[in-house]
Amino acid sequence: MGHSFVELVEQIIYPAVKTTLYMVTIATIFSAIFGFMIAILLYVTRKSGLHPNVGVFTVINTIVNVIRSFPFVILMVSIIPFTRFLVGTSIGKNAALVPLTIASAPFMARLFETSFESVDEEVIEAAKACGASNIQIIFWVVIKESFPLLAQNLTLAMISILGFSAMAGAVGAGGLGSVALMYGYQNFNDSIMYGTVIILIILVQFIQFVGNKLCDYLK
Amino acid sequence: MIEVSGLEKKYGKLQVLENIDLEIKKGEIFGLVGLSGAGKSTLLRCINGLVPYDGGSLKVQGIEIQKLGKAQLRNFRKNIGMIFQNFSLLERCNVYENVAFPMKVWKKNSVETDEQVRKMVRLVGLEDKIESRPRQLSGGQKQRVAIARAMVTEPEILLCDEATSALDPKTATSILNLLKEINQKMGVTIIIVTHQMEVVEQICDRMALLQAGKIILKGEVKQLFLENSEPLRELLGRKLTFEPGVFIRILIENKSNYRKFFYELSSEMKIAYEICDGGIRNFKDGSAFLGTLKIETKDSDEFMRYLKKKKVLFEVQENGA
Repeated sequence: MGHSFVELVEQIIYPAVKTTLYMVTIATIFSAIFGFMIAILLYVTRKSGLHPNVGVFTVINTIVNVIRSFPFVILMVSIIPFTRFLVGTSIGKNAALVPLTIASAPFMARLFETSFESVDEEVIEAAKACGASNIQIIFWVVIKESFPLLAQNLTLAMISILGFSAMAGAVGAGGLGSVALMYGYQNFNDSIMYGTVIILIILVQFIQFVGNKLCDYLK
Repeated sequence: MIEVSGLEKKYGKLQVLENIDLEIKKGEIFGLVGLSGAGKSTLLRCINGLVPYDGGSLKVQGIEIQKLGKAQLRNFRKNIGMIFQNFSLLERCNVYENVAFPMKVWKKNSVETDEQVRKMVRLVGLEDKIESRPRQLSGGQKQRVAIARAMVTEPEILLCDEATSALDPKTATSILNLLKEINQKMGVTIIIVTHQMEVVEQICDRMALLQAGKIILKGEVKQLFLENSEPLRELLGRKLTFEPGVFIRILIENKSNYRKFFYELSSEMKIAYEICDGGIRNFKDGSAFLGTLKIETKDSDEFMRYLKKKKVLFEVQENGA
């Protein structure tokens, strides 16, 4: 103990917030990119899709389901060798990006897939009737029309990644999760623990606010 | 223009279209009528290749649709516009962008696109809404945008799938009038799928009635209305009343003619008659009186001779009105 409030904020909380934001932002970007590609593949190859392909659909669909059935903590631990192979270590914020991305990409894929499915079949039929190719339909109709929902679902996923990142903190990733555990759970420092909780609430509110604004703008 | 013969379509085990024979002439408005599930929308989608068929032949301008490759089929659709019940507009695009969509698909240059889009928006009367998004428009206006989009590549055929079913009667009539105008001005062949007989009555030259995937009635709209055969009555939900006497259905075109007819009938013919049903109908080429008169059996021959003399179209209804 013996830290002043200002010292606590400067030396512990502020770096933790920075680490958390780093992990959440980068993991969101990566999982959005992978999730988007997976979602497009699922959407296009499904039975009623633009280019049905049972084989491709079944394989991707199964992989998505398998990864999604892992609780995050178990996934993180079980892929440690892979994380080491990619990043060289299994500790720290960069190492945490690997399980965060792997866990969120299939989640993101499902959310994006349902966003695409929200585009009315008749609208797609109308585009076909105009002579549009599949590529044109995907980019000019499906993706463009589902922008507001994509933004909403991206917000949802980002908040869940924030939750994952706190869990990652428990196993050596740093950030708000590890601060809350170390100072709150192990040192019984309530003010730091509840402080991190308040910061997390503010972060979630902020992400949701920006997401809603973006969604309204895109409508 | 469109020749269909022995067309078959199955969804799994369900036979959706069975031995369809049809010929649609250039420049006419043709109605495909039937209850939901009769197969009319599927038949419509066979014409522009949205739905592949399992047997028989469907030729548009002499081209067998099923034989077209993917790229050829896409190219072929440039010549066939289509509109839908729920308008199917791009919600995140404004009127201009929606109408321009097919031009973008066909990579037309911006000058040509601009010219065509503005021309079509003017045709459907939405110049002042060109920047609006679909959600700022009424149902009728949305369908106008859809029509402009379908016509922007100036196709020779326009397919309409329940285009007025989601609209109130007044708006529906204005859309039908627009379609009629397009048909007359641009010489477009229009095929209309509908379950509403009023639609067929108002704008179709000829029609086919589908039931469970089969055509059970086809011909000229006026003639079919005059014949008033059982399948048509069933679709309209009309029941016959059985009474002694002879029931004669008559059709008199042109307003002055039917006024004159009834005036003369009462002065020239000393017979008793009853008007069982009747009224003025607005057919594609103008209004006409269509109705059923009940005559006593002893007067019927004389009355029919009179009708022939007056050149009135009529059909004897076999078992009631």
